[in-house]
Amino acid sequence: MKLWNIALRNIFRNGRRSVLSVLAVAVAAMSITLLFALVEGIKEDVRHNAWNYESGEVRLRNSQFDRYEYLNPVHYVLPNYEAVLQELESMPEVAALSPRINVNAAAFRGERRILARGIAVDLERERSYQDLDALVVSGRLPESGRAEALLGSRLARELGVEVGDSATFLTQTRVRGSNAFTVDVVGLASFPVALLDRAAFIMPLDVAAGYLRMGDAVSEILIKADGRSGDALAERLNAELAPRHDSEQYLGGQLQASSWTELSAGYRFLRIADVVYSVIALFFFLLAGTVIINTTMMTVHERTQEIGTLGSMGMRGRELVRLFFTEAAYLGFAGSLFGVLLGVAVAVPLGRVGIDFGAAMEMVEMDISTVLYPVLNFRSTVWVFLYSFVVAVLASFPPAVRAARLRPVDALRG
Amino acid sequence: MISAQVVHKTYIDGETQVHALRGIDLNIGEAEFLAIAGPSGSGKSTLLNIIGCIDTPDSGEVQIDGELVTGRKTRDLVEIRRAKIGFVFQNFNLIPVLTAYENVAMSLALLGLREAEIRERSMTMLAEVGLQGMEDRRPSRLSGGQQQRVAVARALVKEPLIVLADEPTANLDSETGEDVLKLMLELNSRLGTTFVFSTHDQMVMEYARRLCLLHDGLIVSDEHRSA
Ligand SMILES: Nc1ncnc2c1ncn2[C@@H]1O[C@H](COP(=O)(O)OP(=O)(O)O)[C@@H](O)[C@H]1O
Ligand SMILES: [Mg+2]
Repeated sequence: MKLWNIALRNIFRNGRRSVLSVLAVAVAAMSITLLFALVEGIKEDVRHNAWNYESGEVRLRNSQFDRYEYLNPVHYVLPNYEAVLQELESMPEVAALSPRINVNAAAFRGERRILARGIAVDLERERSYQDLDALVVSGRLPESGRAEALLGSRLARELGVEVGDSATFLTQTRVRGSNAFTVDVVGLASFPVALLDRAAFIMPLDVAAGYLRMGDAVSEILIKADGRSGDALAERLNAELAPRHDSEQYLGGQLQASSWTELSAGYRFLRIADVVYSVIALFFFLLAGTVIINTTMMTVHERTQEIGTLGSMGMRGRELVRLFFTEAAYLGFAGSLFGVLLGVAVAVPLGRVGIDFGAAMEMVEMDISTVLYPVLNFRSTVWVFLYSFVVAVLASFPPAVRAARLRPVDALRG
Repeated sequence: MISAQVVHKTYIDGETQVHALRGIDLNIGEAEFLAIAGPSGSGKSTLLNIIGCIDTPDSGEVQIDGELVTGRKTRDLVEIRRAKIGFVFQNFNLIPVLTAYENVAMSLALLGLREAEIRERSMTMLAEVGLQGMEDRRPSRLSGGQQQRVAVARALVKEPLIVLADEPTANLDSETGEDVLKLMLELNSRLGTTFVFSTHDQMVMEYARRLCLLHDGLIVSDEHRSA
């Protein structure tokens, strides 16, 4: 007569209650699996957006720019950037490069002033940095050497322009003069982040360089690292690359590399969110745990006479504890497995279709996309399974110990 | 073999004190077939529980197999019960999820015996109590009399020093009760196991080889009879 066998039979004594306990654990495990998949999706999304549109994985700038950023000091640039690019390309840990000019622009529609943010990229080079084509929803990408732009669709609507129209922007040159320029709108983009979609446009680097009198300079170079972490790469660049670029050209500043982990507000937010989600997970499991505690208490109560009988036959306390433990383990195992599988079954299709948070994300001033794709992380899924299983088993401990402490003579009386 | 000396037990039930046992002296020898008789509330169950090491006296001493059990740790009492004492209950108290065979085998499994030995001894014991062919039935598919036979087999299979049966026939009709009693008596004479059972039923007392009358927590008569 094996203990596991007795425990298994006991599970089926009150089938409905066992099913309820399994469901409680399953709901918790499923919710947390989904929550973690969503969090993982948000993480990948924030990373994707930060790397492509904000800070890159590592960003190179003139250190003076960062210092006076609030003044928009457009004259603090990276001069002679082709030479820097060449140096970077020879480094094995650099995977992709994107030299950029940031065009802070304003457009007027009647009396209304509409702020826009031009991202001027080397269109050929950019292909190895990100999938620009995926952004285009109508028309095409601009071409180098032409006064063309790809507008965020919300920005186009704000400006009242369509593909084929032109748009005029006012901007500041490198020497802080004003300049107006007109571009042909050759395409509309759908930027994943609402904030970008209503402000950003993409234009050719060389054209922007002309308008902004940049000469041989760019505003920044974004870098994606190969394998190793961006932090390590930034550190190496600051140690090796920065000293070789003299400060006269940099107007008192120098070349400075920063990793996205220090730049991105989204990244910092996620670090905090991770803790918050773990606490939420903990509460879910505690809730499921109380169901198991309750189940075990009811079981102990119903089987008090039986406990007395086994005790009088000489079953030891720890054997009794093990019996109730094993029963909880079955319930916990079934619930955790069922819940995690259910969570996976829901997360996988959602990961393909995505969840549209549209309106809710409009107001969020962060680099989070309006459509989010849950991502299942194998490790955290396994972790959820183990955790809910362990919590379920541990939850049975207090009532099981109480059962084992009952004196047989009292238990027999029922 | 088993002796109780000046055993007292008082229950405190709220405001009132109930003197369940008021100085019991009792010696039980080998192969006895002893009935503790007395009206309801006279202390029969309390006495059996104390002898069976599932309850403890307030004062006095109990020895089992020459060993003092009074004042021993709970853990030690478990070991004594497992090896030396078999219980039969008024309500049969079989484990409902186990078959007749498994209920009996459980006694031996607790002793840590090998599977083969457990099997052989349990099957033999079930045959002894007349339940051959019903080994695989769960209690719900057995009559009251059959269930009590399983309980007797369960108590006896480990070859205990003593079998304690608290009103074993109280939940059986008189005919079935008599059958169970005859079975116990037969096993007592054949295997030499000591039986102590309590009852308030005149018919049941007739079967006893020795009859102790309990009244208000005191043994008022102790009579040995011939077969
Ligand atoms: N756990 C208890 N708490 C309080 N009183 C009890 C308890 N158990 C037994 N008694 C009392 O002790 C007396 C003896 O009980 P018991 O040994 O069960 O007698 P019997 O088995 O002969 O009917 C009775 O008066 C009973 O009410
Ligand atoms: Mg009684």
